[in-house]
Amino acid sequence: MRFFDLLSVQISWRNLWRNPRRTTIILTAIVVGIISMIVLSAFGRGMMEGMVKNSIDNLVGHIKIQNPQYRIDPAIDNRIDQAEKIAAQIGELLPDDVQLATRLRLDGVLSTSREHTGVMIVGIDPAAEKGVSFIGRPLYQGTPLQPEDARGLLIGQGLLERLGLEIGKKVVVLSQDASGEGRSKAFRIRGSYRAEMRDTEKRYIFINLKSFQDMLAAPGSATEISISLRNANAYQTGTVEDYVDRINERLDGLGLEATGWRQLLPAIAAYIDMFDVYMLIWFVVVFVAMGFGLANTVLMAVYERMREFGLQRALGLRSSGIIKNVMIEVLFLLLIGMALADLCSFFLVKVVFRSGIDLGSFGAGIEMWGISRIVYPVLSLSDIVMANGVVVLLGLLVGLYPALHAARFTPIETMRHL
Amino acid sequence: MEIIRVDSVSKVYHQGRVSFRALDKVSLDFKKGEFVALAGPSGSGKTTLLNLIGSLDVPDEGEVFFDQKNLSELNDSERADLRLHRIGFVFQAYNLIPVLTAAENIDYILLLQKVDKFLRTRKVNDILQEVGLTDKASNRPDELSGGQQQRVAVARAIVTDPQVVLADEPTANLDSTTGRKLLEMMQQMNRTKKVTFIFATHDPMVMDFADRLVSLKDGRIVSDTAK
Ligand SMILES: Nc1ncnc2c1ncn2[C@@H]1O[C@H](COP(=O)(O)OP(=O)(O)OP(=O)(O)O)[C@@H](O)[C@H]1O
Ligand SMILES: [Mg+2]
Repeated sequence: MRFFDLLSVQISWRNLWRNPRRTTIILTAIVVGIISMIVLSAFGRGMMEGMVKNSIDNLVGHIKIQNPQYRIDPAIDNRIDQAEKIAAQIGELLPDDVQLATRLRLDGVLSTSREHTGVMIVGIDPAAEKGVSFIGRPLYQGTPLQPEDARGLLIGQGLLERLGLEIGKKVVVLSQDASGEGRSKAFRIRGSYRAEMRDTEKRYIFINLKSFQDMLAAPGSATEISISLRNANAYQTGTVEDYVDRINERLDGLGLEATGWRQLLPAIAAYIDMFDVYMLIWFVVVFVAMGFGLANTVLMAVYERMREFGLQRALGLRSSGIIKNVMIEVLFLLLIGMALADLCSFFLVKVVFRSGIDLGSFGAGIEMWGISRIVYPVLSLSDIVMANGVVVLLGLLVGLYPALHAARFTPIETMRHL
Repeated sequence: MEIIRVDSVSKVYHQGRVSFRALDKVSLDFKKGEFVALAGPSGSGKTTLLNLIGSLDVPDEGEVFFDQKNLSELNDSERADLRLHRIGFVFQAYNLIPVLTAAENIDYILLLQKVDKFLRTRKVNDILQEVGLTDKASNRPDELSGGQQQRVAVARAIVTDPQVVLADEPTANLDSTTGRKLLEMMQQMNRTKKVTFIFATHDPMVMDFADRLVSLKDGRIVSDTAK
């Protein structure tokens, strides 16, 4: 007999609907199981992608050039001299659509008439930050930093509120120069920004790079050159590393070092690498709950039909034929369940949860992990394939149990009990 | 020429510590084309004997030969194949697969035999006509009367042109008119196709129809008479 002869398929299909209630119940379990696999993995992936994007936006970039000492001691001593020139040279190495942002980033103090607070002062070239970091995005209030604005300052909305400040108010910024002397300068708040993370809002203030350099009497200095690649797939390893190698060749002898984001954000890189494994574990966990129900339901159905299996055996069907028929039935259950679940998942992700879910109620705890307040689910083909694959493979494996049971019924045993 | 030879066969059932000898050194031959009734009181071993002949069960002692082949030398799959190709079965009840129509139930066995589609359709139609159920071809068993169900079972048993048909109380659930029709039909097939029929039965009518009557009691043959 061919493996899928029409009659076995018909028998299995019709048997499936002999007890529609039971079939519906187990199908519901399968559908709910697969939906939870796919939808939750979509949120997991969305969360992860958001996390990667946030982290890279958070003044990291895909590649960063720094004085290696700066990472140990983020002080002006460990600066990049002639940063603009180096940035221009590096720019030549890279494709045209790559963006470079030169920054001078140092610890300092922000003083108002009433209060002093520790901040991270970042000198930026406002134009270079567009599309590279969160400060390149539209502000929450006020006006952007103009390139020649020597006294302009941008502040996080969170800090602005905490300090009871307003746009247009004057503040004093203090930091140390190369000789360890404190240098201060008065700035006027031009605007405030919102960031994904409250911490970021409370920590970073932005001024023009030139005016920061002037304030510290360190013309041409920066502490980092951040490089953002267009279309850089966060998950792909390789591209970024290639560029890092090329840049480092060019930097040889300058006492500077280029680092890829995977090294800059090792925890996130590891998380990404583990993500597929997490998902697989999650799928298997969901399946285990579902698999018991499946095995039990089919076993029940098989025991109810003991007599028919006995009859079929008596008529000359081999036990392998019985196994096949039960397995076709299990396969039907799985395929119907998968089709329904995939459609529902697609609908949930693309329609119901299209605008994401707000994790705001979980509050600060979540932000600590670099997760956005709003998570957008991301359907990935690989997750869908993996979820369905787990269900089919393990489902058939589990189905083997009742199938083997059915094959063990002998005709005399089953036909005797009339 | 004998088609079946039962050679001092015993069957012992064990239930807990008690063992029960359902057949005790039974020897018996069946010739090709015979129409035989196995009679005897309940528990005398009729079904047990039929099951051994049909290779549904194995004896504890002795041997059953089917067309010279020793059944105890066959493995599970070989016995399944023997049943499929050489033997037709009619049981007392639950003969049919409930999810299949009358025609499909007959088609099923031909399909197991890997008969090609064209021939299958023809054979199914022919046999349905022969048993007078053409108009019930697409009814499921639960839409058929007991007699109609048994006719489908006989049609299925016969459609494969087996050498032997084993029927265990085929008329037990039927009224006498229906039972008679069924027996006439089988007698007809026995005569035209030379198929051997062996019945296990309590039904005097079946014994009437039979050419040979074998009586069992307590697992032994007490009489064997040709008519
Ligand atoms: N699987 C079994 N386990 C235990 N005892 C059995 C089994 N099958 C049959 N027996 C016993 O063997 C004896 C013969 O049974 P069998 O079914 O062959 O009788 P029978 O002649 O067909 O009776 P009936 O006319 O009632 O159908 C009976 O006493 C029965 O209880
Ligand atoms: Mg009996």
